[in-house]
Amino acid sequence: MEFSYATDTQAQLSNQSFWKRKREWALLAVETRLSGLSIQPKVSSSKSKNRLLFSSNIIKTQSFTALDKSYQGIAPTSLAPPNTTDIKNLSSSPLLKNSIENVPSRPQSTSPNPSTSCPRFNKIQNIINSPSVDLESLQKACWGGVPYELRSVTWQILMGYLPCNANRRNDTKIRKHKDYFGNIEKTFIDKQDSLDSAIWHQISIDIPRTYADIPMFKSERLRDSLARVLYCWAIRHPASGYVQGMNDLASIFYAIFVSNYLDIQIFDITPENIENISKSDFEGVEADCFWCLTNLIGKIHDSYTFTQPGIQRQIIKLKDLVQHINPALYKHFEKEGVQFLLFSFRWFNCLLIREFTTNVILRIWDTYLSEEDGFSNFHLYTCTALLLKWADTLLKMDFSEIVLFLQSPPSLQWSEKEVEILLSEAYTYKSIYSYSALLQQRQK
Amino acid sequence: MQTKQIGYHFSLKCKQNACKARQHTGNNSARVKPQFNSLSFADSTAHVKKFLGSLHLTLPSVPIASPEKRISILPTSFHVYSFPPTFSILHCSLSYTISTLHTFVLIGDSGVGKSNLLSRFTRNEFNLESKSTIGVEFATRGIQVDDKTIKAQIWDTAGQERYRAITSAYYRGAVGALLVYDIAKHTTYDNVNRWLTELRDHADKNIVIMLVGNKSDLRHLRAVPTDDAKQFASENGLFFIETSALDSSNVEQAFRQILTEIYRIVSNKAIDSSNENAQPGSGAQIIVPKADDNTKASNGCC
Ligand SMILES: Nc1nc2c(ncn2[C@@H]2O[C@H](COP(=O)(O)OP(=O)(O)O)[C@@H](O)[C@H]2O)c(=O)[nH]1
Ligand SMILES: [Mg+2]
Repeated sequence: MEFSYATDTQAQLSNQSFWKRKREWALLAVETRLSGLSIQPKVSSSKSKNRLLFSSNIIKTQSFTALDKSYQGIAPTSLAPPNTTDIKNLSSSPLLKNSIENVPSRPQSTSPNPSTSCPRFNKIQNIINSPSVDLESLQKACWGGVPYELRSVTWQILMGYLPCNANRRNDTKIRKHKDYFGNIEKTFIDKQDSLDSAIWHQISIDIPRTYADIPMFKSERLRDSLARVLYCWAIRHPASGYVQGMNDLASIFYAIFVSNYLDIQIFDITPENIENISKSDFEGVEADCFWCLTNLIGKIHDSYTFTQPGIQRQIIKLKDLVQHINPALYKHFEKEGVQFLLFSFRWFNCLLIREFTTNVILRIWDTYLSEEDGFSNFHLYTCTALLLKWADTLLKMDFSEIVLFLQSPPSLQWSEKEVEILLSEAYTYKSIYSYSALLQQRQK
Repeated sequence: MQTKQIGYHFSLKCKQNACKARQHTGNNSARVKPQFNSLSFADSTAHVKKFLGSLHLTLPSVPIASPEKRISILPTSFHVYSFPPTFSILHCSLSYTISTLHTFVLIGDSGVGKSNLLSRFTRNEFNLESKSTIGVEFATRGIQVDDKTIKAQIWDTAGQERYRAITSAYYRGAVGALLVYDIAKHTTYDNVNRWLTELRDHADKNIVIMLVGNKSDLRHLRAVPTDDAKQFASENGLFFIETSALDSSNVEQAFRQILTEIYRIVSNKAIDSSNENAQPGSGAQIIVPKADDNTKASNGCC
């Protein structure tokens, strides 16, 4: 996103601090990005010719209004379950039955369904339906959230699991499914005696503790399948093996893919629903989950290898960012002896799954998937924004209050609306304080 | 161990101006010895910012402080060596408090019920489907010991090997550890030795350890006989108890017992050490680093 400033603003601008200006640009960028418009900062040339019209405050409010608008556009699907007629409408549509095929364009007349008639829905759908998906425009369209009905296929493309070329998608899927079951055979059938008991044991302890608050995860069939996926992944990646928390990551894919297949909202799926899925279809879902998990962890693999260097690095960065943006909070933590590792370890290990409700985390991941390095980089700024949100509260707390607060943070009650704001703040921080910029600043 | 628990407050009075020096050792183990890095002079009229010289104290037996109460004692002798020797000290006192905060860790294999023991003890909650612990978690609860309230700070750790590097950092400050196994799973009992090694490597050598056989409600599934565990515990100098986070039997007792033991040990240590030479409070030499401007220092005070 680029903005052209008239050169004669230069003198005036130099009075402002460098950071403040960058912040303004970033806020504009957020606004532009979210509203899908291209906004040029207006420079009033006639009266006070050098003064920027926008104070950062105005920009802030504007960017939030823009957010609200875009939020309302997708709200009905992603926030609340659609009413039953909508569900019926949708299930009659072939669209959700098979995500492998192109998403058929929806007849304009059919439905008053607010989500499918929203511009974002159509936009994303059009992109996916095109013979060759333009990844960049798909990312752009998805940054502000993917409608619930399109999430399964969109994520699979954004994850790099399904190819952009629509014609190749079906073949790819068939091949990948075959690959996966080849792996399963190798791990479980050929080497039955040499199962890694430590890994298997850990997984079997964690499976019943995975998302126990979502009814579908009570299904034995689903649990077995999840265990297979995790074990198979762990065996194929000996550098990390299975690490607690990976079950959480995998369960997100199950939630989306199963929900998409059944065309039932995640929280309404019962274990019986799962039992009724045909064998081959269920295996297909399992294979999809495996490959998406593989691709996801592939992006952040060093977060799970010995001593978890990826996480350690992220925590150091988080610390640096907080020190830079809110020194008071940083000092307060230091005074109280609150180590960043203490609360943020889980944020990086489970990618905030434990900090938000499922619907909300899906929305956050929509954005991560639409960013270049969403899980390995943008996530850091989301964590920063999240912590700074509570700065005022935390400043009044002592050690144990802080730790207890962050252990069960109020973000669990957040709706998508609050998360939209959080993500826009994260975007702002990312634009201003990209780590390299921070380092350069420090060296000066 | 006890040195971590005691915070010192130290004050010096000299002829004309009241000069105060403070040092709180807190629970930072790196600073257990009362070395005064700086003396700050409370008197605002004094120009002295830095104190040049050294100070020798001899202290009497330190009585056991009742928690949270500050006790002042007078050293039996003290000398201040300063340059120029203008100090003439009228009064010196040292006060300390025994911190009432005790840190514990819950360790043991994954799935033995550590998190549920903690939630049962601190919130009286049990959850069959509690999520796995990632890294470390924390809870506090006050407990009554010998009509004093002691605040227990308890760290719950993740059992998986991969997290060992992170969790072991929390052993360090702990005065007590609850080493939990599952009476229905023999492997979790077999691993107790590994956890003991882990503690020996990372924790304070005086840490009090209690072996806890959890899930005692699963009688029909018992895999570890009580007597075996009891014998193992006594051979290794551990306390032992069987609990059930589910029906809450013995949970309170487990925490209470280990807290009581620690409290006793800490209190005894406080008496013992005050009679020894090496420990703070008895003839310890307190060295104050040189001030960079000694003329000012000597002119200002007295
Ligand atoms: N029957 C029984 N189950 C327990 C008891 N304590 C914990 N559990 C169960 O054991 C599983 C693991 O417990 P958790 O506290 O998460 O173990 P942790 O990994 O050691 O923290 C959970 O399903 C608990 O419900 C107990 O005293 N009795
Ligand atoms: Mg636990």
